[in-house]
Amino acid sequence: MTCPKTLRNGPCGGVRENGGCEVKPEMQCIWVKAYERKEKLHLPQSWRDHYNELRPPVDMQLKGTSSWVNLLTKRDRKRSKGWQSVIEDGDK
Amino acid sequence: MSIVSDILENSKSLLFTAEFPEIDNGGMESIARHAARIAPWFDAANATDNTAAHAHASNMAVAIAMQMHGIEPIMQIACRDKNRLAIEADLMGAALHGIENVAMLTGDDVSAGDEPEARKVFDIDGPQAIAVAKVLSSGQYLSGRKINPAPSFYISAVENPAAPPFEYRIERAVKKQRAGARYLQLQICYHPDRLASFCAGVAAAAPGLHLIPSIVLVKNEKALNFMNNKVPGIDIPQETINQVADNSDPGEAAYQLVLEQSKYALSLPGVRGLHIIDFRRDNSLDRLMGELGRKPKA
Repeated sequence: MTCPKTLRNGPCGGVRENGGCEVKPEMQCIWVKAYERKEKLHLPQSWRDHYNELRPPVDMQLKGTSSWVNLLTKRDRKRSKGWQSVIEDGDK
Repeated sequence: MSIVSDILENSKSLLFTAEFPEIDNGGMESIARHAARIAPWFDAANATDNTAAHAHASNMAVAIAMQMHGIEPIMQIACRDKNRLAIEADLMGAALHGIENVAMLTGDDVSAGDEPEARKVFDIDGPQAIAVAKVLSSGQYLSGRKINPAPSFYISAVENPAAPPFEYRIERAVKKQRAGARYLQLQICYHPDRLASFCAGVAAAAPGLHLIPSIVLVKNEKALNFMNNKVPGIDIPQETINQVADNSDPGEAAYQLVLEQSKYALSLPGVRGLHIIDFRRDNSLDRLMGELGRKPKA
């Protein structure tokens, strides 16, 4: 995770005029970089839309475990009950 | 129902909110003094949560004190200093005291403050925090544990229309509305073109999401230079600073700039009021409100 504030849902309000990070001005904001890339590349619209998806709070129990294993076992799709029912199911 | 929600949802009136000054000392007397200045002109005021990463009397304590002085609080909750449990506790504490207006934000990094050696939390981020308030108001904690009856919140957030990537800021407002925000207080913006395109974009993409731009009452060009150099996300064009600095009466020029900004912001689509941060603390607040056609409350 490159964002010094570990933000999962896009650029914060502290992005500098030149696109620099609030915390490390010499580094380009990672969310600005991602935005520019997804705009530039010829991607299907549904892939571009991923940028603005509301991603859930990180499950800290997964710290130090393999993201590949969690992907294959779908462990990384597990949400807290409140988030699942109100935010994800509620959106459908 | 909060005054803020009643104005925004059930009327066509403008909403005027103030930034309640941070409280470090002076006890309840200082609360009373600030309240007396703010009460005649504003519908509600923000109880801030360690602004700019500096410790102050807590958001909750100040919000309760404001209520005791007849000012409706908008309680800010920032993600920098609190994990999700602490944020849920802040929300439930607010509900316990009848505080319905909650403003959910990411918060500046600890490096912006005077204790940069502190651990930053950011367990969740601004959009997630908005969603957490929505989950609680549906009658459960994040875990799914029931809350009966459900607390009643009128949820808001913040956005910076003038920070890159500019075009994305509109989509970000849409995201915050989807997460549960009903209105956005906007970061002070010294680029009228950016503010205008942001407001037009949000009015089209997220109808019903009310916009409250911020206006900062400054004394002179020193405050503008300070914000321009020290506050990440705020950029002030040099000609705007010069317009104040080169005037024979910088105080008056700074006031005229604020008046012009206020009228301009109120003319934009989706804008339902103003958030005013008064750094001057002289008679210019009364003057500004008068010139904007606001009548003081008895």
